[in-house]
Amino acid sequence: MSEIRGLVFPGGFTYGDYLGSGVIFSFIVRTGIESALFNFIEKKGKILGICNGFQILVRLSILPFPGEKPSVSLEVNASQRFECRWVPIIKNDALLGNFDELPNKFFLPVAHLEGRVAFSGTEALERVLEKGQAAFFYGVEKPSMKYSENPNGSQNGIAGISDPTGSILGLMPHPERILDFRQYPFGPEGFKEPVGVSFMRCFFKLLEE
Amino acid sequence: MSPRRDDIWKRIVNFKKGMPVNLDLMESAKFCGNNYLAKIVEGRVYLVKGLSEREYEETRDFVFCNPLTEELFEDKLPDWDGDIVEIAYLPGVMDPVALTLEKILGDYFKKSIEVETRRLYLLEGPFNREDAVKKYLSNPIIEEQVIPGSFRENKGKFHKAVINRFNIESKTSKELMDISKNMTLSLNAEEMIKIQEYFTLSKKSPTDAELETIAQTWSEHCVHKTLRGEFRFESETIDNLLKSTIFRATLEIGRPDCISVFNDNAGIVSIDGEYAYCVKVETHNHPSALEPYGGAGTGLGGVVRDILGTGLGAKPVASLDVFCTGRPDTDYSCLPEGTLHPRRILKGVVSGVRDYGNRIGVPTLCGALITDDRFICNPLVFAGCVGIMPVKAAQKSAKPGDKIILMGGETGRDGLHGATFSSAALDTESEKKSQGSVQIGNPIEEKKIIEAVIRIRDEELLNAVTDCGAGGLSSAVGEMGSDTGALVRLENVPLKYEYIAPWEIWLSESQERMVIAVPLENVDRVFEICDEEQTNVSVIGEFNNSGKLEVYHYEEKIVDLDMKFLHEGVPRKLIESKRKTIPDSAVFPEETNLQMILYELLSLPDIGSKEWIIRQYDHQVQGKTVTGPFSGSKQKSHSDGASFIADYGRKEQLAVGLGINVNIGEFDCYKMAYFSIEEALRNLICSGGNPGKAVLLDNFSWGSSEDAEAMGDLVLACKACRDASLNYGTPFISGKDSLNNTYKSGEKTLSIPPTLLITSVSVKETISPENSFSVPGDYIYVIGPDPKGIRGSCLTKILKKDCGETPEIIPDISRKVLFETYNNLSAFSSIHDVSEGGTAVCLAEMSLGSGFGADVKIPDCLDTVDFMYSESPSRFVATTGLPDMEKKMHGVFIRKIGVVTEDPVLKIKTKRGCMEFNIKEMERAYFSAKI
Repeated sequence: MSEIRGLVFPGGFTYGDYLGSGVIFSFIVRTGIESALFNFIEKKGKILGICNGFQILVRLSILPFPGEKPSVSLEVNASQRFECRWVPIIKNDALLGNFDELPNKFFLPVAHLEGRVAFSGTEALERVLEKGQAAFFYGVEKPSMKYSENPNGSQNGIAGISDPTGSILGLMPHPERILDFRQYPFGPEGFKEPVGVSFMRCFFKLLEE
Repeated sequence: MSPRRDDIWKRIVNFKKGMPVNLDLMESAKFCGNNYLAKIVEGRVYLVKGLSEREYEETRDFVFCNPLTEELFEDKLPDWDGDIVEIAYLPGVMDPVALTLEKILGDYFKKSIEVETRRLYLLEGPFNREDAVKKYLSNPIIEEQVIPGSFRENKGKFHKAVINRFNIESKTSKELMDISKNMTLSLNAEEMIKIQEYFTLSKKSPTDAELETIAQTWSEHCVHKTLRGEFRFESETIDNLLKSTIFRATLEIGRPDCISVFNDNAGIVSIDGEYAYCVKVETHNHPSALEPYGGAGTGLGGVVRDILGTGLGAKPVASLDVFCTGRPDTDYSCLPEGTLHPRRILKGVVSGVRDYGNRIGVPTLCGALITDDRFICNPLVFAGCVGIMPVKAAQKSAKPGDKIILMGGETGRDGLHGATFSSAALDTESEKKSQGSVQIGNPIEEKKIIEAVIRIRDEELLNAVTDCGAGGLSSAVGEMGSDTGALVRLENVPLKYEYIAPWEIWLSESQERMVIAVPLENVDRVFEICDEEQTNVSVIGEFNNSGKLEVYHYEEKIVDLDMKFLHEGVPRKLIESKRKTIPDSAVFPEETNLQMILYELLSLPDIGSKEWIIRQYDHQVQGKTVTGPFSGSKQKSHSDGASFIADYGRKEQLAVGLGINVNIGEFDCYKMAYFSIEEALRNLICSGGNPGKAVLLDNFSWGSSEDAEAMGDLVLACKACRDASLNYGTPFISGKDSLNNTYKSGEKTLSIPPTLLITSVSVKETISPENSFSVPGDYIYVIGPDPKGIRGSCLTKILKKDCGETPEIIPDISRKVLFETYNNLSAFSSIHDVSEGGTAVCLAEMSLGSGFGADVKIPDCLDTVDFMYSESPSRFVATTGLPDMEKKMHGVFIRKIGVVTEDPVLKIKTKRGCMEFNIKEMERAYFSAKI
């Protein structure tokens, strides 16, 4: 792990998400490399979790507050169904200093059954909002609770969460699926490159810190 | 509390905190006639053996429960005043959750752990237990009700079975048929006599394994004996229908890029001489009728393995699914005995595809839904897959000396008789007879074998690969070794449980298994790769020069057959066929409200939004999807077809278009097939596919092969396939047929209508226009001949009245329209094909996708009904800013009919006035069909 600068937990049904999303994979991480992983986090190692990766980070209690008692879970969508659709995303750049190349508003695809951000209490939610840890919201103009802008009923329209330092980021939408303009059905909005390309570029830039 | 001993079952029940009601199940209960239930709450049950109390506590909050949102009941039932129902899998049914848990916990604690999963239902309010268990809480084909809180010892253990030999030498034809029936061999008298002759000549008595092997190899499912048979049709004798129509057209067209047609699991087409794609579409009808979830899931799993087993292995990159079922609003009391309600079938097949496709990470890109009462007893499930491979991996052949390696899941008694069962008709007893031929899949195992096979291919370690599908090892090894010979030792096959008869190991269709032929020197490396991918692997025999198929179980030889007899011995089938008589049609009822018809059409499940299905499929996983299933800036309408980037690091795109038209088949199966091919190509063009480089696949799902009229329809459809294929220059590269989709209920035999699914695939070399209006102010054109004829259209389906004439197709004009449209694709801002529901539905869909309206005037020379609702072929609606498209597309019928408007209203001006359709109202209709 000492050689590694960044870690990505990508999407994908790890172990079929049997027993719940990311449950078995996070068990394997926990029983295999937990201490190495927390060392990495302590040294400000950068971590990105997308979809199933986000679910795993939450389940390991790396997000929103690494090492604290779990305070968030990703629950079954409010629609009770798997949702594969484009959603409007709003960036919150409070902690995402290095994501300035990413537009403030754009669309991304989601594809998940368990993506509803649910806080165990108001205290954790308030802390996350206050510290700017809610990195992405669902919504067109402002964070939305309206289906299907908010595809899963996430609290306060939260689509992605970072840790208090901005080194660890997890989100349900899939930026890595939009690496080509032809894949974007909303017409050119003056972006100089596909959203997914900007996103990954920002993450890689973060690694150079 | 005394410490728990490891060999006692620990019982864990997991509920969501607050015990929320399962609304989905409540709705199902209501639909099954129970309006009085107040609550159904669902809990997950884990029975675990082998964990100490300390070990359990160490894992509890990380594996069995999320303490934030879930609560556990350990070794006790929840306090509940109402009723409790517990559902367990029948012994031997795949339980992927249990398998995964056993592996993970076993690896961690380094010991053997046993797990069983169940479901617990808490119910409040009056209900009929038997009814509930059968209709909405479980499926008795794979599950059973158990005493809540109970344990079952000897999970999946069976009595040891022996090898049976049959003395058939002196048996009469009737006695032979009894054997065929009792063993579910689905062989006819002529075939049984041929077998009798073979064994008499070789002075042997056949074993059960030998009879089963022959039955599987000779089954309709594996050898297509009807389509390859000799047809009498009117004054004609057609020798091998398939060869003389569809194959012949492919040969005549002779496209050099089609590098493997009709001889592998899937047809293979070269993209650029270095890289190729392959496509296969399968039917999985019978299993889906009985267990929709497992049937559709394993159907998709099967076709994905077909692709994986093509050539030396292709990587699955996209899949498609088409369902034909009864109407979801069918009255429960109208269902024939032994059939599942269409709603339940639909729910099941959709979740089956969702759970399998999403979990293996292959995008489900396109599909269709056809609802018709004639599919109530025999619903159809088509599953297709596209794969990518290097051209040099397109050919395979097992060499003598190669080791036969089996990889993937363990073998059990699940899935016996799949090939023979699926070749026979269904009846009220099928439910009982078929136990075992219906299975649940394990997509995670499939994902592992995909990774392993592709690595083995890339390291060039194998000479051949094929999947274990229908017939299991018997057909996989039998096929691979048909030119050489093979010797198999069944004791080396990894088993799920000990007590299983040798013939069952040989015939088992346990899912997620592949067979590969590997030279001895590569075996160790193959084992290493499989180990890294965490999948089972074992050498189970060797290919040789014997020309024989020999199978041993320890010292006992259970199969000893000549490959030649096995693969060429099946007697030719003679099929009587005739043209069906078509009743006269009535006159179109003039009083019909043409405005209301559009709303009714939009709310048909076949036409209306399939969002409720499609949103559950991941259609963007792998990140290569370009044109997904939805269209327009609002993503509210459907795309004509799909397109995707062929593979990472490559520029080429592939496009897929489907065509299916059941309604018109009632009157003319020649037109049905021709129209379907033409529709598939138009869908392909609308997605940017090049028709000049397109290939086709056929999937026939038909009625009984004993029914002369059904067979007459088949002859006509095959002839149309030949004619259309030649007309457009698009060869068929692969196909599949599923016959005998009939259902015997008492004296009555119900049959499905002739159903042909056409899949077209091609490379995509341009940027395709939108399939919805995209630029207000653009002119709207109809390209193609003026529409005429409404017989067999969705309009008549709604009117429930057979009226009018069937539309005509003029091959020359159709070809010209298709190719000219493709050549001018870049001039259009949007394009959509005119098919189900006619031009009116086409315009409505184009409005729905983006929210823009249209101002359209029906040309004076055209009949309003024909213009709006005729489904006559060869037509597109396209928009462009160019006011003189007529001049650019010379030699093709094209009419300007209106303009795209910002105003969200579709206006259609007729001779008598103007019909206005508000988009909001159309949306209400379009999104009304869902379950």
